Amino acid sequence: MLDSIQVKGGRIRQTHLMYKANLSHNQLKLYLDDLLKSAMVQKVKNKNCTYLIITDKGSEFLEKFRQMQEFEKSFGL
Amino acid sequence: MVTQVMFAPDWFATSDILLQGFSVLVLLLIAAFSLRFYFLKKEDNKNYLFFAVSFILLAISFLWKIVTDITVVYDIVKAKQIGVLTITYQTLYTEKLLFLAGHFAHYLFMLLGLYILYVVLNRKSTMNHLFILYFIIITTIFSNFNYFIFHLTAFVLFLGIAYRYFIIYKSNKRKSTKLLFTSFCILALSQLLFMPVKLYVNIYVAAQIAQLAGFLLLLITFILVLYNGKKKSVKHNK
Repeated sequence: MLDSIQVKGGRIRQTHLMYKANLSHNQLKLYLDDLLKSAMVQKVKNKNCTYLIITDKGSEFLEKFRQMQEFEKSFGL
Repeated sequence: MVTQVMFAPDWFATSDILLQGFSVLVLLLIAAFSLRFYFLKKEDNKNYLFFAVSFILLAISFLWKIVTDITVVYDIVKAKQIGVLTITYQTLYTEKLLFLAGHFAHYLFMLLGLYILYVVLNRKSTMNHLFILYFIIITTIFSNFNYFIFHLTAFVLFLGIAYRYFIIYKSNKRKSTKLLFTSFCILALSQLLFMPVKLYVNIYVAAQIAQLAGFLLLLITFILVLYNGKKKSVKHNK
């Protein structure tokens, strides 16, 4: 989910995220609650739309996660 | 008397300790990151923990070698300065015991670390760990009488790890895995060079330089892996 938000420039509408991350409405709600609780994602209202924005904490986590994936693949873990 | 149990030429003794210090830093750095990744995603991620443990054991092994080598170097200087026969003899006796205990720990931690790393990389292995552990302890005990056995075992384990990285490289074609394969080959070569050290003292220097090259390449690979992960994040941010 974080990856999908970042690919879209760090800002995405909730419905777009649902399609992009290939999740059902219930799944999205469940994971999004977790991300909001851990302050990795923020909800921002702009005119009539609600956008999801990736926070600095979310970006940092994603960077660490990508490094971990790279480490895992290269070191054969 | 003490110089007989220390293989490094006198002029190389300090550099030898510094080179091993560098190896400890590289090993601890990789272990720290592996532990950090383990805590980032704890579920189904035990491989990171074992990987970190193996690198910590290797670092402890080198630390033991540094401590024993420092004691020996210090002892040589002290013997020269005092020059009183009885006092010097008593000191040497204790230092020799410490030297033997230190080398025993060095051998044991190194072989255990290499074995755990080998097992982590060969997940589907059906090896009997207790049986292998027994052989590691036996090898460690006999290595105290003949250092050759230790270097031969370490060589086989390094080669096994290098071969595993070659298999991984064949499937993922990553430059970093190729570098890992090369670094473990160099580390295996260094163990090979350590073997005839009693016959040609200067080969010890060559072996240590090969070991340094191996760890340097390991450090470069590790930095490259972190850089690649960061680069992907930056690319996605744009």
